[in-house]
Amino acid sequence: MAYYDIVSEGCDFSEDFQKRLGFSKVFSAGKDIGIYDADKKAGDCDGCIAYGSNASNMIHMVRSGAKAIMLKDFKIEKKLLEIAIENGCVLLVPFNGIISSYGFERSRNLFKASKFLSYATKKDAKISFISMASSKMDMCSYMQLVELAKMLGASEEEARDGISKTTKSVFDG
Amino acid sequence: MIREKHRYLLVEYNNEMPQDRTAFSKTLHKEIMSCFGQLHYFKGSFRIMEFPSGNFFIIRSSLNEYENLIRAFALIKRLGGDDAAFYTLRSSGTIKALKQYLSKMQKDAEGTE
Repeated sequence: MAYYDIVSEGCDFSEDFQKRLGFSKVFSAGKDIGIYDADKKAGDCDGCIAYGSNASNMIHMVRSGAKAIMLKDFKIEKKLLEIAIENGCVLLVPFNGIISSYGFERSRNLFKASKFLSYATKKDAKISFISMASSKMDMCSYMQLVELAKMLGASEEEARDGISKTTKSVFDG
Repeated sequence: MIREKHRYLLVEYNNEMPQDRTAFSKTLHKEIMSCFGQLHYFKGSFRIMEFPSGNFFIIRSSLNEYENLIRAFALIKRLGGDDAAFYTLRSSGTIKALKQYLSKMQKDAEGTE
């Protein structure tokens, strides 16, 4: 099975390192695919990732052809998620907030992420688990991504699909 | 008496491995305990078995807790006051299999250079 990950634009790593972590390819958001901050303005987002917490802007971006959405703080916006699922958008679950925080903040992030995942799974959404690492330090191996996804409540199959097929589908077509 | 089943993990440390392996091991165990919690830690029977080469090491865990250990390694970001990162590369039921994997991986890396 081929595994994929998405990291932030500034994340620097070698191809050898990417191979060691078990990924076929680590994509960079900003380089390999556009990422738009929905909190700044609602623009056309065809084939890109929409990121933010402003639901109305995000809905506009989803309707204009966003491939995937990433919600700030895993805030559940029911209407947005409904429209995103209807449009075949992938919901990205980034682990950077969990990995780089500590103590109560990490606990709170874990709780929010698991609630979000539980809601999205119930609605049959396409879910992708990514590290969204901003540096090499925050990157994870494919095994770690699978286990973190399982910790949030995903099944083994959902976790593996979420870092292979679903992540790849964001970059296909 | 039922024999406890173990699982071994091959882990990469992002910094250079310190000379004092005992101190490194102690600090790492402390960090793992802070992730697991005191009540859960003893079930893992964690032990660093070997430092095969470079910044890699092989750690043992009980079969029931190895998944939590993989998660703990993803979450540990500081070790003894320094920034640190641990990448779990592979898991196996034997140390030999992990050593073979590591030497194959290192040979492949040399081949591509």
